[in-house]
Amino acid sequence: MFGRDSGLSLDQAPPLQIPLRFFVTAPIFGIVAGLFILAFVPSLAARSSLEVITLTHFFTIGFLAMVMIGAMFQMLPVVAGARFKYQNILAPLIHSLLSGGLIVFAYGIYTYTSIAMIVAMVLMAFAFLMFIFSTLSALIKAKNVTPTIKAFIFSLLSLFIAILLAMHITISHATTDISTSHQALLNAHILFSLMGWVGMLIIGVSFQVVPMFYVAESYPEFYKKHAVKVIFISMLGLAFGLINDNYQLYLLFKIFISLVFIDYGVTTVSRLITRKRKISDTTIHYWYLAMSMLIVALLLSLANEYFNNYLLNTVAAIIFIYGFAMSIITGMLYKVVPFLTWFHLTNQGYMNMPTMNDLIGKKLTTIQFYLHVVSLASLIGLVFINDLQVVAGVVVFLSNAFILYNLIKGSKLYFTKQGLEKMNF
Amino acid sequence: MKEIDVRDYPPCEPMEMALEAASALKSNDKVKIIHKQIPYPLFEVLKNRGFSYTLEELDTDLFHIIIKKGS
Repeated sequence: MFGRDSGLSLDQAPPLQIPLRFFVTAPIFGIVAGLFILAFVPSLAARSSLEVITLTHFFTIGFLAMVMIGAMFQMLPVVAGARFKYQNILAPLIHSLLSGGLIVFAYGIYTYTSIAMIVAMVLMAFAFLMFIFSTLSALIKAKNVTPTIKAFIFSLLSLFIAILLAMHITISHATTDISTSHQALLNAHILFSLMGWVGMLIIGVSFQVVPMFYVAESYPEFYKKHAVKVIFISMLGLAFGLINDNYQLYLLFKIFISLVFIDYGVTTVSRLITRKRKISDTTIHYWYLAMSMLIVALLLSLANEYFNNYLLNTVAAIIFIYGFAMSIITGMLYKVVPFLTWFHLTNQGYMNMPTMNDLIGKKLTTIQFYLHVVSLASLIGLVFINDLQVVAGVVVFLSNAFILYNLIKGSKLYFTKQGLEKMNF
Repeated sequence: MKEIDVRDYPPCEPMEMALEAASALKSNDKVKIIHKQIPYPLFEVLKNRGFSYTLEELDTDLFHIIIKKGS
């Protein structure tokens, strides 16, 4: 038995503005991505084209990383009993560097301007490295290294590798000194970014939120204990195979990683199906969509080892980024933002609050969910049919505009109450 | 001591139930909340509302939080 009512000072959630600034920025970059498709992306077939690289980073950095970093500021006290030092300075600084860096990056890549590429690289590398080291230093101090914390640590190590590779790739482009290993390093960057940073972080978060938010059975102990270790070691093996042009090694580890992720997808769906509270909301649909898209993306990527069709890989990447990662993150935003609004107001002594499910409303999230599905389908279609440019651009724009609206609606009450309070005094 | 098992409730119900039980406490009463995780956000609210608590960690997914009025 031990008391926690004094000391540790770990039970202080960060102010709502800290995670919210990241959460709200994500759909803004989604909106920008929609406009960018309308203006500059006639096709997604050539994944190495400048417009596709630019668009990809609007989704991966602008949306995914933005939410994941914001969520980490929120989760660290809850999951690890730890806090970011200087969070009030760190959060806006990382947010500004990342947002500004991404805009410069988009300009630099799309116009292939060396100086802009280098400036963007410096801004974003600063943001990511500050985030990685401050998070890791807080996580390693956690007294109880839970499976979620372990997943976060491996995810951050992957992000670190991905950033180093990104810096190398950017400098190669900026100096037009492209080495023979460029393609292998690029594939390693994609691997550590998507499977490592994004994939393992989502797995770690799932260990926590699936049993909590959906009153579902916990993930199997064996999986929780070993999954992220196997993924990380396999990624190192896969990258070694890529760089040394050893196809057997590459394939072996690719199969390993895919199996661990497919197992995660199947386990998550089975946990959600057998959950104790059978209440169905939009977030559940998002989880089912995300898990099925994860499995489809991995199977397509594996199938491509046999069919060797580069379009299959492009489709797999779209499904992984937009179908899996963006789906799960959007679903979680619909849980987390109303919860934080409710929590901060409750903590300030407000009574008789609407329930967190009423803060956004099911109708609005359902409409956005369908827009998301249509935008995913149109992005896949844009790999094969150029005529879909306008449709894809419009639905990506609308879907993200709806997310933004829903998040503002979900958090508005907090700011309204704050405003009222100020007026009363 | 009154016991409330909140393990089968999703957020924000466990916190609502715990706060409701805490508000109903008389001066020397205690209430035990049975939780499947450490509810750090609840601790913050309790402290701000003038309650104290003790945490018992019985298993990786079983925690007892005993709440009383005052420090």
